[in-house]
Amino acid sequence: MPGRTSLFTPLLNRSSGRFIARHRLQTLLTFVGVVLGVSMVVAVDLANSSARRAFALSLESMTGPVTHQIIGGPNGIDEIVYSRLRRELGIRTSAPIVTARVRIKARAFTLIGSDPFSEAFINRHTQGLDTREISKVLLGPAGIILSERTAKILNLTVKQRFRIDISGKTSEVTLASTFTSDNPAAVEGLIFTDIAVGQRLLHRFGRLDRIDLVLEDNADRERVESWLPDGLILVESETRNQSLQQMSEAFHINLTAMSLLALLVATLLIYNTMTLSVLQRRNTLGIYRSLGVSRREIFALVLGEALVLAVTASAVGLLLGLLLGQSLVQLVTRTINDLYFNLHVTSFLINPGSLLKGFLLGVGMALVSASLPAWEATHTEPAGVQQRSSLEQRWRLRLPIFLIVGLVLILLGFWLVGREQGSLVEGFFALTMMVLGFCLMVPGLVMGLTQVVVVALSPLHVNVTRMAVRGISAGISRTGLAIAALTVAVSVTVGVGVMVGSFRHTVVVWLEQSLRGDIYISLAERTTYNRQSAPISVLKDSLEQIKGVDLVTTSRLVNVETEFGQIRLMAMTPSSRNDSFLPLKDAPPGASQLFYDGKGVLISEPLAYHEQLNEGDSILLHTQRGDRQFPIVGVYYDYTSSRGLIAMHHDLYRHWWNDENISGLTLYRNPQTPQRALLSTVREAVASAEGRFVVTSNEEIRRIAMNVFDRTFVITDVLRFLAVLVAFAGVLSALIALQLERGREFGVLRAIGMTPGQIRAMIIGQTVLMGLFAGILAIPLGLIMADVLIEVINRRAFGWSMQQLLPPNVLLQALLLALASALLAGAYPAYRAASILPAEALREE
Amino acid sequence: MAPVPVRWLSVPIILVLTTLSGCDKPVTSPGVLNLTDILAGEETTGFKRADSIRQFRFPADHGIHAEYRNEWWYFTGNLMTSDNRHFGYQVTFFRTALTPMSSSAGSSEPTSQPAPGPASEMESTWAVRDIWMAHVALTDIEAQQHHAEQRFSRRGPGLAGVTADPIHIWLDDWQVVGLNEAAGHESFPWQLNINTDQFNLELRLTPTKKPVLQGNQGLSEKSAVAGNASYYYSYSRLATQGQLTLGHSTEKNTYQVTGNSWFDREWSTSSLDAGQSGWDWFSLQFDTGEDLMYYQLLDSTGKADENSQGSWISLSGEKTAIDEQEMRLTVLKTWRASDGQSYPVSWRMDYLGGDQSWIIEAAVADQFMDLAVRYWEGAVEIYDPRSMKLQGRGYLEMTRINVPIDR
Amino acid sequence: MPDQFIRIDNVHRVYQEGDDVHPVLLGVSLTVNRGETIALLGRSGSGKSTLLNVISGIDRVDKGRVIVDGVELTALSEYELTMFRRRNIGFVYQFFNLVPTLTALENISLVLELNKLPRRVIREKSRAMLQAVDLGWAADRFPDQMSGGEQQRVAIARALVHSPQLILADELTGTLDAQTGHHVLTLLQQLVTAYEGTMLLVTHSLAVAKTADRILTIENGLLAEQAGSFAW
Repeated sequence: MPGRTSLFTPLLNRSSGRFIARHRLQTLLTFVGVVLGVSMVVAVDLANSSARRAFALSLESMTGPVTHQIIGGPNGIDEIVYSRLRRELGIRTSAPIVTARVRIKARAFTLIGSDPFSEAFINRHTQGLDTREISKVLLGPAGIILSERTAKILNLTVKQRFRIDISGKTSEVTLASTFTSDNPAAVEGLIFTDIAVGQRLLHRFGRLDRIDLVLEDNADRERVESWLPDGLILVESETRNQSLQQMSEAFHINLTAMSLLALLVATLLIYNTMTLSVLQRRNTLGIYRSLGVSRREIFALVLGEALVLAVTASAVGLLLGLLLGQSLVQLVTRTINDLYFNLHVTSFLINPGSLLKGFLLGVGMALVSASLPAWEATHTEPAGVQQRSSLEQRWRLRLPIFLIVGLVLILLGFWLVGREQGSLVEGFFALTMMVLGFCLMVPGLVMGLTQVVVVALSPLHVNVTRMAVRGISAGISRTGLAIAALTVAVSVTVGVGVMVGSFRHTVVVWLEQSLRGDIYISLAERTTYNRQSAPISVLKDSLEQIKGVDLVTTSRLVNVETEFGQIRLMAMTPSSRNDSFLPLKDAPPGASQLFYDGKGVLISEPLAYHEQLNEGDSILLHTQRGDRQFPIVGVYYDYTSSRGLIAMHHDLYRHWWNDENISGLTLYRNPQTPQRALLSTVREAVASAEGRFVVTSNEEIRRIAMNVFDRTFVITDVLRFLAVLVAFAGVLSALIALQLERGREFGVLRAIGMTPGQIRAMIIGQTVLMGLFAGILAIPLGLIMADVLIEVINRRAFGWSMQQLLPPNVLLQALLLALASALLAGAYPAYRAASILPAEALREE
Repeated sequence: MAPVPVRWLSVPIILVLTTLSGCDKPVTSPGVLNLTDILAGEETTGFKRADSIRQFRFPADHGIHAEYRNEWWYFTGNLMTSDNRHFGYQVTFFRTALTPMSSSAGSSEPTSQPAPGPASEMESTWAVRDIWMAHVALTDIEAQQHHAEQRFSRRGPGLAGVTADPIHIWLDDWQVVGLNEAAGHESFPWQLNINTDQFNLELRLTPTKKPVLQGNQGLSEKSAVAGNASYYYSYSRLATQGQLTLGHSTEKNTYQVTGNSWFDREWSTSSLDAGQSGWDWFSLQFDTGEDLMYYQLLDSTGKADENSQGSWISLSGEKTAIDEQEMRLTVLKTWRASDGQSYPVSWRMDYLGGDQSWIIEAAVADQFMDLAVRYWEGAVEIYDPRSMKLQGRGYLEMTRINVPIDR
Repeated sequence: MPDQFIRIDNVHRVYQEGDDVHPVLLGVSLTVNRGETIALLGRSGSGKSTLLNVISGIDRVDKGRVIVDGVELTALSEYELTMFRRRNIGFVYQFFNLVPTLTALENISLVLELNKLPRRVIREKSRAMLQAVDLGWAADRFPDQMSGGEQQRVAIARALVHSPQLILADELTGTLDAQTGHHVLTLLQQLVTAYEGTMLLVTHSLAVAKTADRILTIENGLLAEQAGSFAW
């Protein structure tokens, strides 16, 4: 089969190899671009899957083989319930659990206090427990058990005493024993202890946080369910875990989308390089054609080159992605910790799926992007009849088509995001269409811009600048793509910058509106049980006596079970009947009044969005006194939870939950009293009070909130930076190729008397202009992107609405970024072109 | 009932914790046994000891004796269905204290006490002082099967415990409940409710004889060392009726049963000498209505110790003490258990004091309690050595500690 | 005494590529008088172009001296050489070598622009020069919109627009058909003669060579003056 074998003609391949060898730098840059693109996709995917896995493991490690959990109201579960469960129902595959988030050496852990005797029937990941010291757990007042790995990480040895931080309070504990686990990652962040120790450490006597159950058969489940005292519910741990995990899904999708944008930039880069290599070899290809090499063979040749490049670059990209992923996973887990759930597992998981995905994406995108130039190559005329710039001309003819197709894509994207209730993925798809459409339009727009510049500069009538400007349009097939790549990268910066800026601004304003009180006092521990509420009530009375305190209101923050799963409920006492105590979004005029009178609840925006609830609807809550529909009197802005919140008057809450406890006090000062002075008075009063409390000023809360906010977006910054890096490689590669191609031209220019400095200036000027174009084009694309991110993506992902804000510095930054990247990218080609030896340049060809 | 040694009683704790750790290797390695020293050890400081004769009072003494380290409630019995199918059962609750009563948190490390605060005087109900263990077993003589199960717990918020009046002994849903709240009846009849994966018991026990104070007026000396003794009384015969369910969920058979049970109560702090290596303990109920309890303690060579003793209980419940000289036990046949030890399953018992002889045969050879604490405990049949006629039924317990295994 | 315009003394130029040494010029000496037209004949790779590059200061010499119009090029810096070329030398190449991104007129005016002439002068001179090569109509055409002959005429115009003392033409008719080539050559010679420029023509066409005042051949790195017929 001669046709088939000739697809891989050794000599043609060798020729390709030599071509690549001669254009090493250019190849290297493309290589780097693809490496970066693939590594970003892989890194983000690895970080995501690690974080997801960490999430799953964190949940799983705590639930283990547990099939169900009994969970109680805000006060937890009376431990007698557990005894009765065992005595009356004989359900022995059950364990009583107290749990809390604690810190050791500034690292977050989940403390789990359970009963080893009961645990014997639930097989958790605690294989290889060193039993030698375990009695300390039972007998000592504060013995804890860690996995061997965790102990090693914390540099702790058995019998060592160390401090553990529980809600700001420090206790001393002893490492009683360690264990090795069949799943070390899962238990890495767990601290096991005996339930008695747990109750002591957490001051949670007589109460359990939950009861873990293994209920294999349905009959048992029904038995437990029908037996369960009021106020307690039986949940399937699987469902519970899933709903917990879904919280962060939107966040993962956002990251993936960003990494795919980087790959898009890399794809443009591959396309660019392959186009260039075809262009540069049109003579060679023409000779091949005249020698009788078929179109199919040429197609295979070009595609083969792309394949080799893509495969090697993708492979290296995987390795880099592994490295990068390790850093990213820290950022991702930190964000999840901040926003969603305490991941005590931070291990880096190498997911073969992620690697494969990254590799296939890299290779696939490379092949797709190379097929067009490969097709172009097949249309190379045999040597002798070829027209020097026929390809450029073809390109120029194509530009209007590109413009139109691009425009259609953008419009299609707009149409797609304009639809109500679309999915998040759909939103990203639309965004991708817009970006792609814009990319297609870039070359045409660049042509237009060069014309504008030429006309603008024509009074100067300087041929050197003309050469610089026209160089861009003359090589539009290359420059257009380089500019497009840079445009996309910079527009991501603009889009995300505007979104984050808007978000930040919105949150700042929102904090201003929400933090009506001056000083906030909360319990130092999450202890929610009756014994603790006496001191805070006493404290409330004494605070009310302080001069300068106008009002002290109470609040209670608890998780309640609803028809939509567990949702956080904020029971609060508005400072006055007419005060807009919460920043209301959709609420009729009387909403505050209704709320104040306990006629209904307010729900936060994300809850309203996700569950499609609105003012006038009602929400079913499982109260201590049975299920009850609560009318929704309005929707309020909240940015603390992407899951959503329910706000309820404290009195209404007390009524339905029989919970007299108070989580916090809000202190309103007399406007005449200076905040600072009052704060110190209050702190003194609190310090002398019985019980442990945390006093925070509204200022401090604002600061902490903004810290968390900023931390959340660090990963975004990293990804933006990487995208720009990919684009930079693209611009550099395109410029180098362009300047190499014009070697002879530079030789002539040098011969007729242009100095190296003039050539350098010409090239720098040209690249700066390219950067400027990219910067200018990136702004509209970036603004479109910001708009979509704010109005579509964030809304669909988190249900948050935000005020759009155009920070001028973001636009300036975009321009500067584009210019700086171009300038940097132009520096080397300029240097190369200027140091060209005219004699050699002229001798070539 | 026979003295389960202190050291052994602490083993279950380790076992439970090793089970927690997913390791189900037999807990026989010296390393683990060393752990028992850490757990409970031989430390007797802080505990009361059975070193003098005391006044027994009922029903109060059915309840807890927390100042002693170990305590148990031991029910065994032979049951029969209406169609003459025979079963043996055992239900035992053990309590062992990890720390003496005086220090509730049980720590000698005052620095690691919880931080002082308003809540520091509070204590978790989960704080461990006692470990509770329960063993139940059922011998299906016809099917030659033996089922055994164990449970452990701490007292916790009512997971396990005992109250004397009315009697309530429980660990989870394994319970002994006194049904009679009227005064003077010690709440008899007592109901035993046991649910396991393999069988359920629902038995009602009424004593037909008054309690027997074993040993010297209830002080049962186990060695020459003073204080190595227990307080020990028995109800040697309780008329038993109720129902027994064999099998689980879909395949279960319920039988109405009647028979006789034996209830032993014993508490102590330490009882065995270091040199003792085990015991053989007989509780026999003759068809004549007489009962016999005898245990022989084995010294390190496996020979009967001079502290071996027993009692003969007449029809009216009068006790005659039996000392080591009056009893001759001859092993006729042994059976090797999975722990490598040989347990005699056929004996000749010559009660020289009463001028009587019997052949004691295990109803099922394998009635080995392969649990955290390993021992042989099972229903036996009593035969006349000449006529080989059945004379009665009883229970036999055999333990072997640190006996070299000869293979 | 004739005006000695170019003087080359014992010039050596050796190219080295890795371990391979290609001696191109092995002690070439030559004198050219002002206003003279010299034809340089030689086989491919004989060193014609190298000699041309050496004379224009585009290429350096390994040994020897090159003096043009009294300036010793071999002693000048890179910058001085560039300035010298800018003012004194006009190039015409076989492959035209027009700047593709500039129009015909712009290509011509580029040289004047480099010489920093006033804009008005540039415009007038460039236009006149374009007229002189009969391409007045093609001022706004880009190179790729013109035929080879037209491009070469633009190249000639660009080479001569600043009236350089020295014109170097390297195979200027090489890619053109005989008639166009002849036309272009004639045009060039007319224009050069008009202001008494000195010209070096590199060619392998005897017909072209014969139009010169003198014919030199270069062979084995050495120069020889030809008077008679040729072997090939």
